[in-house]
Amino acid sequence: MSQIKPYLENAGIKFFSRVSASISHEVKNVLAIMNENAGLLEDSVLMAQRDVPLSHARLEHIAANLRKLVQRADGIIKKMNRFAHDVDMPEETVDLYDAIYLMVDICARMIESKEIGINVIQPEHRITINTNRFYLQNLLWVCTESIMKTMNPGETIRIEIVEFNKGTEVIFSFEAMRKEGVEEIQYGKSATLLLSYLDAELIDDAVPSSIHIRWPGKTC
Amino acid sequence: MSEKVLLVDDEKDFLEAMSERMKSRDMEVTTASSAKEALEKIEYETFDAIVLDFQMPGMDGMEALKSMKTKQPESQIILLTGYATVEKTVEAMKIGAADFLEKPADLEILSQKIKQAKAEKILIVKKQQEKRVIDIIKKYGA
Repeated sequence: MSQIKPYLENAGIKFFSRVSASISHEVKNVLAIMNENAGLLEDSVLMAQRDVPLSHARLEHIAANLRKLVQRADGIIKKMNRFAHDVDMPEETVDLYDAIYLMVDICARMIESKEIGINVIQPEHRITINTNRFYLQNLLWVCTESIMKTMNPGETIRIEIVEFNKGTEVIFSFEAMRKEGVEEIQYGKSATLLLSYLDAELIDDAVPSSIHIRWPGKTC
Repeated sequence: MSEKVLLVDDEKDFLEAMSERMKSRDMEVTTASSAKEALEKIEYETFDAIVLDFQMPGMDGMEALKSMKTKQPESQIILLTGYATVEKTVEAMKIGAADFLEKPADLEILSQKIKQAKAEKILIVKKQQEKRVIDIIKKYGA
């Protein structure tokens, strides 16, 4: 375990940095739109100074836009804050649906850039495991990204959580799953070490179009 | 004469606000919400400047820049970006970007860059026309 820790920490920092960079781009985009809306207000004032009457409807429209943008920025910062707190505890009880949902949310820009859809199926009841939340997010992203590399724009990955007598599984499925994506998870250093650190195993032959990350007997 | 601009960004709210402000400064603005849509537009229309968001879903800015320069080598492309690294800036300039501007952009600075781009394009087109005339003279003799 001591040998894999430095590698995991390094991979973790890279993951954290990528997410931070991606989220900062999202914030920049919101700021750019706010900037143009502020510009529209300035233009309205300039026109009013030239005796063009101010339109109340136009001002209301700009104010509504700004309020919408503040809410959007608030949402981005909230998810960044939640992600930042992922490193707080070495191990805790993690709701798998929440963890997957947050991973998709914080990586949204990277997922959208590939024009891939992610469909996270909410289980009927809460399914939890005891694990390290941050490295779990990292593993979920490594799996998602590996599968995405083999996909075409417009295609969708389905992610679901299943609890059964042998333990708990997160299942990634995609109709045209290609072996390169599975191999990257199977033989890639990051995925292999993360699976080992999180006491999880990769089951890739259950259904041809899916991969299963299994935590044997790990239910809370 | 007003500048004819193609504004490309995947953020529809940004396109709406920015194009309205550009229009109020007497620019003729066409918008596209993806690189693919922009490439379709430059197929049958020319612009004095193309203002292109560097990071969009699907085709990224660098790819879009290459395709635009291949289709219309004389096009003047100003890149808008969240964060520009030195490497990316140099790479984009080598491919043929006319200029770079970081988001949020100052419209007055962008307007100046658009005017410069238009002047540059006029020069390029003039040189192309002169070359064509020289080629015709060479071919048929003075």
